[in-house]
Amino acid sequence: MRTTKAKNGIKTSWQRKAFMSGNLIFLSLVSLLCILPLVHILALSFSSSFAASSGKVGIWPVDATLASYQYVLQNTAFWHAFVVTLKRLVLAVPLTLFIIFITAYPMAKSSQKFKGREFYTYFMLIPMLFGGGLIPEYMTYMKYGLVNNIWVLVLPGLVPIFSVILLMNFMRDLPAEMEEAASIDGAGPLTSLFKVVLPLATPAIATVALFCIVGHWNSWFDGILYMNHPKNYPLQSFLQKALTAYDTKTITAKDMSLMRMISDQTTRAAQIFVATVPVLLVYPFLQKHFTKGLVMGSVKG
Amino acid sequence: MKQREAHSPRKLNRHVLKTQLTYHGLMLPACLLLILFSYVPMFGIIMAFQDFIPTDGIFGSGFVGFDNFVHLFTLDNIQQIMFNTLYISIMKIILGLAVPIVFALLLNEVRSRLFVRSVQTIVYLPYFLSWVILAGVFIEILSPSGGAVNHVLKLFGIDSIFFLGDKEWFPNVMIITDTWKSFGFGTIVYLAALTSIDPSLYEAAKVDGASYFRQMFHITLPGITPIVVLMTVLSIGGILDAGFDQIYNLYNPIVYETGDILDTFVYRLGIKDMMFSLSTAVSLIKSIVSFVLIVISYRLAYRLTEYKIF
Amino acid sequence: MKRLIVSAITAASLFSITACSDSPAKSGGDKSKDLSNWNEAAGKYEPGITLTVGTAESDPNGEKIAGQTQEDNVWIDAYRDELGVTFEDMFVVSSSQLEEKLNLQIASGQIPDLMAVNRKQFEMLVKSGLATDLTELYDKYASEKTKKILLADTGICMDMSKVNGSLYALPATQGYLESAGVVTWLRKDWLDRLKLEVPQSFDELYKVMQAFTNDDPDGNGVKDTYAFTTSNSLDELIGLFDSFGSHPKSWVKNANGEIVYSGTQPETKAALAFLNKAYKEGLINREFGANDWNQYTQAIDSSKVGVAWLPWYAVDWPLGASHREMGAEWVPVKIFGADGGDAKVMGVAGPDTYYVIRKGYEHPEALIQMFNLWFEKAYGSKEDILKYHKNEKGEMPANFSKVKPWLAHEDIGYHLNILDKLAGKDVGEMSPSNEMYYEGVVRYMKNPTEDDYIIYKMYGPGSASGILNDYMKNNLVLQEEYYSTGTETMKKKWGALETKKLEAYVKLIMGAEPIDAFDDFVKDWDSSGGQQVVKEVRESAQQNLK
Repeated sequence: MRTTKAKNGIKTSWQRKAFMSGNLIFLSLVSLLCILPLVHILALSFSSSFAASSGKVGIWPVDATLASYQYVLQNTAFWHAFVVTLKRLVLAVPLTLFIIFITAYPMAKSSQKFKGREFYTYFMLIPMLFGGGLIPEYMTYMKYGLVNNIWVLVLPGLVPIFSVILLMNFMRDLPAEMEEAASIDGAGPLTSLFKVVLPLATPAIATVALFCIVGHWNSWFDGILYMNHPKNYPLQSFLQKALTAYDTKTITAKDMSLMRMISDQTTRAAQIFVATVPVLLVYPFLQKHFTKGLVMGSVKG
Repeated sequence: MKQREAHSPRKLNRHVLKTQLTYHGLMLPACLLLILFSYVPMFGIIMAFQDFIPTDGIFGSGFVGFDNFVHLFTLDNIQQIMFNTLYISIMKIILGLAVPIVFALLLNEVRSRLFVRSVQTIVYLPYFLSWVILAGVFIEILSPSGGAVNHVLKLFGIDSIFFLGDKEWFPNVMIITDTWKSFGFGTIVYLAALTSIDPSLYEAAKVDGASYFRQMFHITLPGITPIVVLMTVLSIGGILDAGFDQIYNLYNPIVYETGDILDTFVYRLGIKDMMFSLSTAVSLIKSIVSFVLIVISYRLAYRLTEYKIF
Repeated sequence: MKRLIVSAITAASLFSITACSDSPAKSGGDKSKDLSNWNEAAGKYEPGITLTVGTAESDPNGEKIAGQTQEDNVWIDAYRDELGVTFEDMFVVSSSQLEEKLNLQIASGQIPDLMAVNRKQFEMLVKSGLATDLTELYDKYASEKTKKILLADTGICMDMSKVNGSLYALPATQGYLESAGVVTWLRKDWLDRLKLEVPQSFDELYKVMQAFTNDDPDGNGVKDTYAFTTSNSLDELIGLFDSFGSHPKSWVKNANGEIVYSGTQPETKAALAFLNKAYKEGLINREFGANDWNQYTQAIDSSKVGVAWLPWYAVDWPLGASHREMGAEWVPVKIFGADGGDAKVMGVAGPDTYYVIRKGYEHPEALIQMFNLWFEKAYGSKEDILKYHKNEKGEMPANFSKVKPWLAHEDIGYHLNILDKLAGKDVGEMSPSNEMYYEGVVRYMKNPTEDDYIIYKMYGPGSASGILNDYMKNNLVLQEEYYSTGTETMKKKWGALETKKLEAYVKLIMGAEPIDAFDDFVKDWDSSGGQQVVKEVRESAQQNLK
């Protein structure tokens, strides 16, 4: 009895070792697969157009050059779009977070504690499911004077229902005692919201903030739709045209000397990369909170 | 207890009232915004029952009853589009469940926290890139002439494949690239569920001499079942969303047959062909189907996992 | 609370009702008759007027004219200084987005004062009552020259700009042959390098195609060329289809005199069989299925193809770039019949652009005044032509104008006059542009320079316009038998039918299905609504006769 068990143990641990190393290799490979395309693009952006078009570039630049970046960084339209996106973020993110926060709080109360919660639930659910569609929205926003106005990129998205739900679920799980204690001390709901709940909800707010920032950073369709002039396009709308429209021969024949070093392929790669950097920068900062916030918001025991 | 008794009932009432009013007040901004930006445009749904004429507006155009819906079902590519939509989105749902679950299970076996953290961070990254950026990436690496993927295929003696211009390949490329982009998100969720399983259960099982696979089937999988059910059920509501951002940025007329989905079709119908009413009718049908599915799936989620989303 | 919110919604929607009915299209009032700002003596608006427009972002790729930009050019100056008309951009979007943007604006009833629209938009504008009826204004204000030139195409374009007898737009007229009638363009320098003659028949052309594919015509030692390519719309193969008597996008009369859709006729099957052979032999770029027009022109620019079926002016654009940058020499030859006889080519009927004035705009006649000024300048004195139409370098300041109706068939006339004059015949007084081209041709014949290259190629001996003239003389030009807007079934099904057609063609060309599958496609096409469309088209044509 004893011996067999011991044998089993040895056998298992040998198998387990094999499994573990296989597992590690497999996991590493999959992770690699997730960043290889991006690394390849990065390598392309630093390579000469000839190396790029002849397919010599793998994950390391060939004929390394900064020409593509030079070109992109000199491209005023690119920077213009970049600035529009920044403006959009500055306007939208604080406002959105504020609205999500104050909305999630009463919604996190039970129906007994918050009379009318049921009504608000449906009121917020319906827009998630029914929409008039693109054309009525366009017509309406035009009536509001929002077409070609930066606020059209901000206002319609101020109540992201998904984020409200996430934060709401998070708040529901917060220990009720602290709030009760505050309430007993005579604090009104507003005080307890900002003094008690806000500090506790930081991870979830960080999560929601990341979604909000990334969402605004990534959105492209509204810019193309509502802006009347390309100079008002946010970055992703600008890139949508440049990256997917195939007609990006932005270089005239006169720039032949430059042409030898850069091409659509490499400039596109450079633009992709420049537009990705900010996400790469924000991501690790918020990721720590993020995992926690997301998990607590969506996973319940 | 004592302190509470100190409040007079009237004061308590006032306190309750004040709290209630504050709650309503906090809801007000969101509600106003929803009214202005969601509910008012919703009147556009009326267009689905009209022959919409721009100058006459939504309240002046003539009503045609269900003509647009009848017309819709006589469009002969509508069946193909429905099939494409369902095929792409169902495959995305299946892979979007299976891949992260398997990946999370494997990752859960790893002891090194640094390794787990790094893998998590890396696989989650693509989730944060827009389809505009990723379209740029995939157009590049999947290009039949000079794309990295075809270069690799060539090393194995495989003829170059035009992934984005081939009708057979296109929908599958959509499914694969979408899974690639988003499985990191699922992985994090499932991994969290796995780590929250009570370790004492495993201890007990080990004492009973349960094999690894027994532990897997009796502890691990049941442990994450609620969240799996929840995620599945939640994705069902979006079954008619096969991914507008992705497909709009990657498709071309050659792959319309297999790549055109409901949302891209509605977009072209409404904005390119100026069939305003018809495209609204399609959207409305889509909304209704989604609504029914979501109501059913939320009920299911509640029944199966006692998880109340709202 | 609930009630409060409901009433808020109602209030908001009421707001949108009133806002809707208050669209400027209706509220503009009818002041158009009195022309308050028009100073007859000066022939301009005083004080000046402003028209809002929607503009396509200038194509960074497009040709640049020194000292002129989309915002500042001779036409902006002319309209402002000579007519008192200025333009204000209501929106500027990329050219690919222009149609969608305008459609959204049309849906919202907020449209620019002056619009250049396609057929679909034109119909929607008229149906919605957003277009000004120009019938009387046209009679009253159009100059003799305008009226004459707009009818130079026998009036097809003007007829199509009318709805129920009222004129709702002025058309961007064009010669039905110049824009559609294609010729075969061949790389002469490749022929020379391979020691081949310019082909005189379809069979010879086929041999040239094989040589262009297999014999390294660019002499770089790499087999990296093919005879021809196309975009995935197959539009660039129209000329090749013509060789087989197939006109896949057109309504033609068959041997029995019935109107048929050529895209489903046996001639098309023969053309596809040839293309399938070409595909197997690698004569056509095998990646064509995913290429668009830009990639098509790139293939030309980068010297990858040696055969192209393009209009007569192609030597200027899009073939010009390959000449300038790669030293390509293009020679035009007529379309050969695959059976050894003559091939017929399609002429295009009707304008691709309509100029519409928003209903309610105070000075709708401004469009007609603009047309008058355009014809006065673009088809006026030599000096004006150089300044406003086409300069010595062959650049086209004309493209900056907000309206661009062309004189139909003018170029063929120029070419013939030049040939006659070169042969010593008396041609009377030449028009300024004609004289200019004549001088360019003469200069080039004495001393070939790049400056005169395009003019020589376009109007000199052996130019493609001569081929067009032969088409006309020999009765080789077919007209569309049906050019009205879609029939009932067409509106519902045409898009799907065309997609079906294109998919079938591509499959057959790529050999995914045997060529006899064409017959299955035709059956499928017929039963999917095609037959009904044919019936309706015939009925509609019958009615037009009455």
